[in-house]
Amino acid sequence: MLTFNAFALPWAIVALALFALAAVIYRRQKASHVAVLFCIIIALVGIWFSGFAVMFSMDDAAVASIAARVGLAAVCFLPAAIYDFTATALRLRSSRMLLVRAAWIAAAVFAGVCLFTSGMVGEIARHPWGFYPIAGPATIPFLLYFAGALGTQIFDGVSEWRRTTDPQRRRRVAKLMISFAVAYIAAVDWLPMFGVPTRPIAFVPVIAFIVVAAGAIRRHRFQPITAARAAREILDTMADALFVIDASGSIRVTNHAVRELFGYCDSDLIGRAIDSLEYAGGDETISRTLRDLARRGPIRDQERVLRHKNGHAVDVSVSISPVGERDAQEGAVVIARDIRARKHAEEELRQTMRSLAQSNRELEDFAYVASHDLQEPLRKIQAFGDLLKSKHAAALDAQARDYIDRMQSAANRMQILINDLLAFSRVTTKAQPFVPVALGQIAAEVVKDLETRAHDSGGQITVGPMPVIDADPLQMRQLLQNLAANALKFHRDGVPPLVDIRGEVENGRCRITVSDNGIGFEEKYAERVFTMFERLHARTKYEGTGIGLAICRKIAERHGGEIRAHGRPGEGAAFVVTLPVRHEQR
Amino acid sequence: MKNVDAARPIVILLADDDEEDRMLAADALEASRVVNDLRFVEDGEELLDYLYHRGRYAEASSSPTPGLILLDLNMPRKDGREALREIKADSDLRRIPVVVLTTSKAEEDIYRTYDLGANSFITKPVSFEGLVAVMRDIGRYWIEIVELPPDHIG
Repeated sequence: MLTFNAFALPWAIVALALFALAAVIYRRQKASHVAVLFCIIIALVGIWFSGFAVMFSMDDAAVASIAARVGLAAVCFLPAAIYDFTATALRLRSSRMLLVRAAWIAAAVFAGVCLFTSGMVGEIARHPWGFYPIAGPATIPFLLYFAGALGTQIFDGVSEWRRTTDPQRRRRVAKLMISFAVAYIAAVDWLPMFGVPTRPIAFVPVIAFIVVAAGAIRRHRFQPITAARAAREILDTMADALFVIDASGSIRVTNHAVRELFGYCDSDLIGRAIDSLEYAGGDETISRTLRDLARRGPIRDQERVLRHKNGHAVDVSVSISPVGERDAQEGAVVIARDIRARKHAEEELRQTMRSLAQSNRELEDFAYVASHDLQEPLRKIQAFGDLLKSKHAAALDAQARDYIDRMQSAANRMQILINDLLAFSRVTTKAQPFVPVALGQIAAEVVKDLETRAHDSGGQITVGPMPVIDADPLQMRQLLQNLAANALKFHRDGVPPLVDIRGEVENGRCRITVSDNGIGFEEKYAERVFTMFERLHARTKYEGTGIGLAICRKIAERHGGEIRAHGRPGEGAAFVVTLPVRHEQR
Repeated sequence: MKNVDAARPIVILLADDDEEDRMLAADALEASRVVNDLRFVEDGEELLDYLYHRGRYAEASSSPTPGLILLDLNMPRKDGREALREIKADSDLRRIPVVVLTTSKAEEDIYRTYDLGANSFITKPVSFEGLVAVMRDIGRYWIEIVELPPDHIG
């Protein structure tokens, strides 16, 4: 029955190659829907070719006819399979669902007609090279269906190519279209079915297609990228060390970073208890905490010390999450982050704070001693000046006494200056930690302190509602006292000074305003008043060294706030201190 | 008022390293007309030598035990705080009133000197007039108003 026909050989070989290719692709990429469809296409062509190879090798027309039907039935499914494949590869499947299903149903119908009737394979003709079917009446409708599927595929491919701007995707689509175009050359094999005297040569374009397709399949993976796909790469790219441990605390999975951080390689660790990596013994080992995971939930950023292979300690921050169901915990994922740099930085910070505190102490000691020793000669000037005036009054005329007065006055100014400088340096060196301070109470104390001065000038200080803020109580006292004393001092001749202190809170900031009806100042000096030793008036007119406001600014800035001055000459001035209400505790 | 019969001048012993301050103190005491016999020492070592009649103060008659000590705190060799501690630790010397008269007004100094047993702490006034007034008040208080302990009892 079966005779050797050289013509059948290429068909048989290609069929086998196709089946092999389909098997390989299926095994490697069966997770991919696209790859599976591709395998189906190839398998269908394989069935086609094997059917025809048998047909060519037959002597018996009846058997040849059956083989032809089987082969052509496979061909019936091709348009549907190719269409489905194209739609999936171009990611149009979901929108083309209806068409795809219709195509498969039509294919099944045609296949049925082909197998069980003589609709497709009418008769079988004998050619010099072998049997070949003659087209039946159902062939034309099938060809129309085939053309339709082909047309839709071309349309979708071209519009996708036009739509995409990504050059890589365009290349892919083009390659896909071209490789199928090559395969479609095999359609010339319909011609002999209609009596055209040509030989079927489908295996040629199909071989070309296989070569292109195999290359494409190998290079392009049609699978989407998911976390599961990239799992191994994720593990090995992470900078943090990762262990997966089982319920008893034994290490089952490690990643690349484990080697870098701890010096162990996989084989050292798999099966080993994770507790053996702890640096110091203790109760709260990692495996102990596993038990609590179900109850407490995952652990985040717990500081631990683990041991490197060569013995030294590695400071890490550990996060542990359970693996498995709540009551059927299978194990846990332990991620350890190297925090040695962070701990080092923390230690350095502590060190810096310590030396800063030390530095402040030294500065204070120095400032105190310096001011004390600087005062001593000034005292002498005062004292001997007094002695001169009292004991040798007779020898001194008015001018001599005047000179002595000026000397003593100069010495006095220097004494005040030294005290002011000491006060200025103490804003830093004697700074106290912030506590909640009732500004209203401080303001009341300041008013009490300045009572005499206010009374002397016939003036008055009013205090409005004041909030409670985090501050250094002593410095707040200094601040308010300086501002209020200034307000009293710079009053207009004949106009009793009216000073008002009030505070309000807005957006977490407190605004303290000390305003007066005194001599005021020009707006252009608003910044200058805060400069140390800067004065807007002659020394003789208003006493003071000009450091009070510099101290106020330093206090405001130390509290993370600011101070601004507003003035109108001849009308008054207002000083506005803005401070944050809350300070974070260290 | 106390018994003026025993009005032999009280010996006031002033310990201060600064020559001018000693001079001013002497002038102030004189100006305030406080009856006194004023002696000077320059530092803590000398002060204790005087009190124990050691060294150049070995002759007791020329270095009578003071009825009042005016003590500066900051002195070389041995400062006032150290000397104060020793005086108040000695069973014989601790009865002598010690008035600390110093330029310092630091809170720690005030606290510590009272802690060591000083009888009073006075910050030296800035002006001479102030110094005169203080000397007058010291004299009035410690010599005229206060009963000083006798040398011995019985």
